Amino acid sequence: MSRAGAKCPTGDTLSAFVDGEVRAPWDQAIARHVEACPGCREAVACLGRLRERLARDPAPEPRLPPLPPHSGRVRPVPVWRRRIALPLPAAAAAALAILGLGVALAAVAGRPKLPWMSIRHGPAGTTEVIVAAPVEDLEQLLRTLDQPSRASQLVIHLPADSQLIMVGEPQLVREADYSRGRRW
Amino acid sequence: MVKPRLPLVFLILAFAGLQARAQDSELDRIFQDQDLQSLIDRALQLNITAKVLPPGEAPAWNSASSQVTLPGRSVAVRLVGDNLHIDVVFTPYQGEGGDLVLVAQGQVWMAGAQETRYFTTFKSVPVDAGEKVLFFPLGLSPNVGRGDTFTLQIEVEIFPYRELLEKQKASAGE
Amino acid sequence: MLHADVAHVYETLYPTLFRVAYRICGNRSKAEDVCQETFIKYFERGEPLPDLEQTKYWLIRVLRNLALNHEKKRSRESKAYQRFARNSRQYTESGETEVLQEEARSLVQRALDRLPYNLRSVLVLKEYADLGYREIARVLGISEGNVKVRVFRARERLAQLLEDDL
Repeated sequence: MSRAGAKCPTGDTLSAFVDGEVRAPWDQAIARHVEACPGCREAVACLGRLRERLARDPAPEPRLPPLPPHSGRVRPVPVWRRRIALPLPAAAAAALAILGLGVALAAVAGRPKLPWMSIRHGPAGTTEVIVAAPVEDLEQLLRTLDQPSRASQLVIHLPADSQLIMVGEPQLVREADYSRGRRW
Repeated sequence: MVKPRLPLVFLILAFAGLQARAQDSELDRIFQDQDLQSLIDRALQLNITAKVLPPGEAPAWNSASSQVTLPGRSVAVRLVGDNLHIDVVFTPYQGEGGDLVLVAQGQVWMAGAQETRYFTTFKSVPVDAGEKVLFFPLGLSPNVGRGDTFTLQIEVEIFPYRELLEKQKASAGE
Repeated sequence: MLHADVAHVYETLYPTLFRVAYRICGNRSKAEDVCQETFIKYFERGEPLPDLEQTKYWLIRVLRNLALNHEKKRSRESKAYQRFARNSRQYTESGETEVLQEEARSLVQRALDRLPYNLRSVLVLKEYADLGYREIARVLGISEGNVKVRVFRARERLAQLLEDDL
């Protein structure tokens, strides 16, 4: 994009001209010059083609995620989230309780709307559950999770008067393999 | 290795011990609720049975329970005896293809006459859904089969929770 | 407009912000993350802005800074990942690891990605955010003259890159 001639505008000026950023009366002066100067005319055409190419370039359509929970006004609502999945309808509260999640979500289940959740396959075979909840609910949720409830802890009382001793290295084995091993 | 794009706080939500006694209408709601499908699809039920086995006979004692969890979320079991305290944490992991791995971490405290001993263990095993896995937190004696050797055994079976729900729904409808 | 209703702001400006974020960041998921972070900051801001136009400038300024942070992180992570990839025999992949899974990008976007960040962001604001030099100068906190030069240099370099690719 080089132009010959000492009177030619600089490249950035031509670029600003193409953008409509040169104020009167200089814009008219430049327009007259461009008309008369093949080099500048080509430069302007080149810039125009580039702009058009940028404008025509396809881009992904925006996927507008649902609006995060808010009070309807721009207030300091501390919202923590990453992605927002579909909101869980209130009817799902009962189902969640059945799945045992109610222990942790009961705190927020009393609200008109449940927190927004996204569940997906996590790395290394785990599960990633992402919850959008205002901080006050989040803190309560985390407190509930940190304290294992009695209902969630499996406690097995070994038979009374049993004296069990360590007899070897702990083993974790598939039953099929264990049965096969015992037969030998 | 995964590098998160943003600083994320993952909440791997706890599943409390479950004895699903849902009404049909509740089950219907679960199955019709699109948003819960992911949760249910991923949930696993661990059936855990602790047994004290005398050799060659039916168990002298057993205790069965179950817990629903998610891949990557642990189920903790505590076994409490007179001279013994065992904490076992079972964690199922599930790959994209549905293949399962069960990890067991155990801590054993044994109170002897003059001392208390402590052991830890960390074991993993690949497993199929519905297959039994046996965990022997106190080990397996080479003398197993002899008259006076008892074995402490924890059986774990992993089932996709959705299958159990569907079976329950089907049998309720019969 | 005296006071921009939050939902209206969100619905009206999200597409523009996404477009800008995509062109600056070069991929959809990063663009979405940056947009969401931007709107979180907006919601947390507290004080409403006088009108939609001011809100747009504010959002774009925040978005541009967030995108810059991602840009720096991307460069660090890319170097770290390359070191890791050389040293590891196996790794666990998450469904959204940006290094391993990129959606197809156009020639233009690939060329944009190769521009230095300072030139890329100015050009994107001009071409995709529909901002004039004065607004761009305000958003970026630089002079109009500086905007003019950067836009030109970005175009020059972009044209060169596109010519090279043909």
